[in-house]
Amino acid sequence: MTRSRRVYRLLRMGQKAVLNLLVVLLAVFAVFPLFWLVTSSLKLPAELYKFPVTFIPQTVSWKFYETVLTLTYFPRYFTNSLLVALGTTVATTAMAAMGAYSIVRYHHWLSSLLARAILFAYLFPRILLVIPFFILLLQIGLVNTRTGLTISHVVFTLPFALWFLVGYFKTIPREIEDAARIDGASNITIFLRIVLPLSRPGLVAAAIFTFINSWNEFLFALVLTTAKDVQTISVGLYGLVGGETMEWGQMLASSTLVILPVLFFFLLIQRNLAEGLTGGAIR
Amino acid sequence: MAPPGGITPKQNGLLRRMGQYLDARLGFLFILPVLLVVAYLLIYPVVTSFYISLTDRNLLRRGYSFVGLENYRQVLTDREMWETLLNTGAWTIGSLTFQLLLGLGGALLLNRRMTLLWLWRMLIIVPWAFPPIVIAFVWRWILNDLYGVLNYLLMVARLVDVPLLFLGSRTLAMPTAIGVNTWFGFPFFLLAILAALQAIPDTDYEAARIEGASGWQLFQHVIFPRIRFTIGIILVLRTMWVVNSFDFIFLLTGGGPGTATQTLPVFAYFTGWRRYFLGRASAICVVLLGVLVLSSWFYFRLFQLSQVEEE
Amino acid sequence: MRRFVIGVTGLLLVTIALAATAWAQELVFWHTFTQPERIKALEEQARKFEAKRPGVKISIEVVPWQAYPEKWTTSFAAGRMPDVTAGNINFALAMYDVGAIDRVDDVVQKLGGEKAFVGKPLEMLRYKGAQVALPFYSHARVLLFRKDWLEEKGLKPPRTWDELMKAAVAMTQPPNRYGMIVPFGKQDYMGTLWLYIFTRTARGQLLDKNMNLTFNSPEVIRAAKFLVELYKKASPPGSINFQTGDLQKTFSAERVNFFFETGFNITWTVNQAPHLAPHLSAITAPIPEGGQEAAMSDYVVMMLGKLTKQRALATEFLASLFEKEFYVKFLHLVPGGMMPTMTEVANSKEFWAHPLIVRYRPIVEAVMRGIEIGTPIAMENGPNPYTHYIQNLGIVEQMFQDIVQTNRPVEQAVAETHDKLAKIIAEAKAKK
Repeated sequence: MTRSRRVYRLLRMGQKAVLNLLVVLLAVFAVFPLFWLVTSSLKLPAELYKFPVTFIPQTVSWKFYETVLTLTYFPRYFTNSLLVALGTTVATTAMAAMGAYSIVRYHHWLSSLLARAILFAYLFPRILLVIPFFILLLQIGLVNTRTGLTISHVVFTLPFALWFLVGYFKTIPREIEDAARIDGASNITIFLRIVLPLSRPGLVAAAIFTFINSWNEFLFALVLTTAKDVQTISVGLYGLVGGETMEWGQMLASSTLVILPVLFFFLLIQRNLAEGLTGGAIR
Repeated sequence: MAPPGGITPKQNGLLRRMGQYLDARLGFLFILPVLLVVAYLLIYPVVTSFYISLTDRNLLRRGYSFVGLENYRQVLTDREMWETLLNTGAWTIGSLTFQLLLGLGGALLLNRRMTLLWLWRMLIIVPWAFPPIVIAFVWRWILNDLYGVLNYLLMVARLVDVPLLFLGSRTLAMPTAIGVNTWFGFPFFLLAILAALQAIPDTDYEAARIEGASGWQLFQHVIFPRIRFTIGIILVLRTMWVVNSFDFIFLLTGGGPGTATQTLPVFAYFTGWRRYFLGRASAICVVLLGVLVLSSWFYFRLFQLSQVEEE
Repeated sequence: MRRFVIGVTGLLLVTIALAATAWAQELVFWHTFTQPERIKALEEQARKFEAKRPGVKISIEVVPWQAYPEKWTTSFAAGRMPDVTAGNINFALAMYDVGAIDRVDDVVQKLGGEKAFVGKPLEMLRYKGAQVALPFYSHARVLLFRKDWLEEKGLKPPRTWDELMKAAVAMTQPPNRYGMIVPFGKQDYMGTLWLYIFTRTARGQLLDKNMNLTFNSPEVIRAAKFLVELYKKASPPGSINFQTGDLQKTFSAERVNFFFETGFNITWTVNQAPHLAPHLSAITAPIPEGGQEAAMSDYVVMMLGKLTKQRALATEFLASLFEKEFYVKFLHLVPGGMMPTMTEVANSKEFWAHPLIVRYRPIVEAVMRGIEIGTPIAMENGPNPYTHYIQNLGIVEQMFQDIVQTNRPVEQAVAETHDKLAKIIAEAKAKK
């Protein structure tokens, strides 16, 4: 009896160990490129191109970082990216929240139609949208401005955020709102004081999606901006790898600098992110 | 901050009445910005593009004339177009299959009592923080045949004698691109499926266990019905992303070697931006749009998404 | 009375608007230099220019080479070209051909007339009777190599195709060391470049005197066959995807010997791979039996946007980039990589006195020889606006990738590529 229980427990432990090992392998797969990026960026140029490769830099060198931060426009690109991404996030999330609430509470008939339309908008290849966008922004005088780029980012991030929040707001019970209405609260009060606080995880998740999409966006930023005062980090990185020389070391260092803040941000909100996904349309 | 609604009676009459008037029309006011943006995004550029696809518009000329379906005839009789369509299919199906399998497997693995769950979850979403341009260059760096770390590891493990040309050989380039895309995309599947799994009440599992369900039956009858909708929606979203993604392939392989990894957006790019045939490029994009509409219709049928949507 | 008020108000507004534009004159200047040092230098020059002219603002926009085709075509389609822009000769001719840039004959006069410029680059930029752009600097591709590896094998720098093949093969020890890079990456035009150099040394051409494509010729086939053999015997297999940046990278990783590069490589090697600096050397391209000396040269140019509203000011700014003090300082940022197109500087002791130019005299001389005898890709019979179709579409690179991976006969692949390119150029010519 005890023996078979021990065997059983051993088996369980073995099974658990195998499963845990799989988790570790998966995590290694996910993280290895980041590790390789960081470790390569800390090498000296000669070691960077060495083969057999070294996993830990023989001498840790900040040379590439120094170059990137002092000699390139990296800090400015970084600020631009941050401004555009934050602007996009605020505008998109606010508009999506309002729109989604309106659809869920006032225009239910619209929702399936809109959902299709949005899906369709999402389908359209972005390469082709670039020229109409360029001409449109030119007409309103916003080519080569952060505002213009932000508007274009809002346009392609809004559909997803809206659709996501429609799903989320559907889960908020109507009864709470009705109770407040009986107490004499106005519609806007209900929205601001009841609906928004209740859907915080969903809003945070939508905001994160928006932020990441804007932060990573490349094609629009490439075509719609040329001045360094306006360009974002993706385009700045593109400049580093082309041309007469491929500045691999600088590329690796600035990539690390781009990714680390996003990772830190993830770390801060990862609980919220999971909650947001659970409650939202992606149930 | 005083809301413009009726609960602050001390405001003067006119403002208050205006507030009430607006408040009563909140539903309309709230949807207005969205409608404007959708019109801006949808109607204007899409209609423009359809129209351009019917003209001989060239980036290097100002004037253009209407040519009817000529661009479509050109595009559809081009052998390269059909090769590209096949590549697009392989790229999409391959990427999504592996993203889904890895995401689902990972989610099932993490949906247990585990120490440091937050840490694993955190580590696994790392690929998500990578902008496409960084993905392309980091992987080109890793996969390089001369000083790439992957070839080094494979050689140390004696799996290969000579470095493999991951991105340079006709046979390996597409699988490699799919592999890189899997790395980037599986965390999204994983997180969403994990969230769906964690929403399944424990009682459901217990009930199944009491009935003596096996692992597979548990998955089939308890788990899958609860995550079907999630999987379907993510598949739809990711399909669009994967089919449309241009920078990813362009920066990784440039569509090569030969045309081995050329997908529709890359083909459209070369036609429109390097050969300046804007009309023909638009026609390619419209064909691409058709493919996407068909495939999302297929998903909607397969996962019965519209039913859930109506709920 | 009311009419009067409206009239006065209107006038006032117009005056204010005019005053505002006069007060804040903005020039947009594009350049293609992505390295920090050159960006800084141009910025300083612009600030200096502004300081002398209150109310003038120069907006500098960096357009990397690889984004250049998209950038100028979009801007052109939208009717908004920059006032002053850098570029290279094949872009300049294509841009002039469609009316995106203005002729600059007056600027040449302002800078001291034709004699102020080195002859050949200026001539190459004359198309249909107009000076299309100003040559800013020239460079040429030379065959770079490591002296120590050659000495190890007791070899001399190769002067003929056969010697090159032998030397490259002798040095190849896969997977650690390769003799020569033969790059076929589709993202830029290195395959076309290699083919052009070898075709020219075999006395071939890509466009004839009437600007008809002559791609399907014995010389091109001969060069292509040689390159395919060289790729298979002595090039790192991964070079099938190589582009410009990969050349130096592979070289500084000590994995390869021969490759074609410009004098830019001097600075790069000295800074990034100092241990290789003592061994770096170069010669002009090897010649086959019955061939000729030939090279690929290129000119980085400065242009004036056609639609610029402030042509006078733009001209002044353009001229300021050729002021001797700045010009020499700028060229010295990449010593040996950027060769002067201004006669005065080309003949000045000051320019040639830079320590790196002195130290790498053989490389610099090879580059100068390349500039003298060479031409930009497909311009062996004079400037024409079609070369960018040959070099920027990745078609030649795709041909090579197909040949080496599917064992398609070279003759067949070249013939097919000829038809493809001929069709594209015919379409481009017909679009006029």
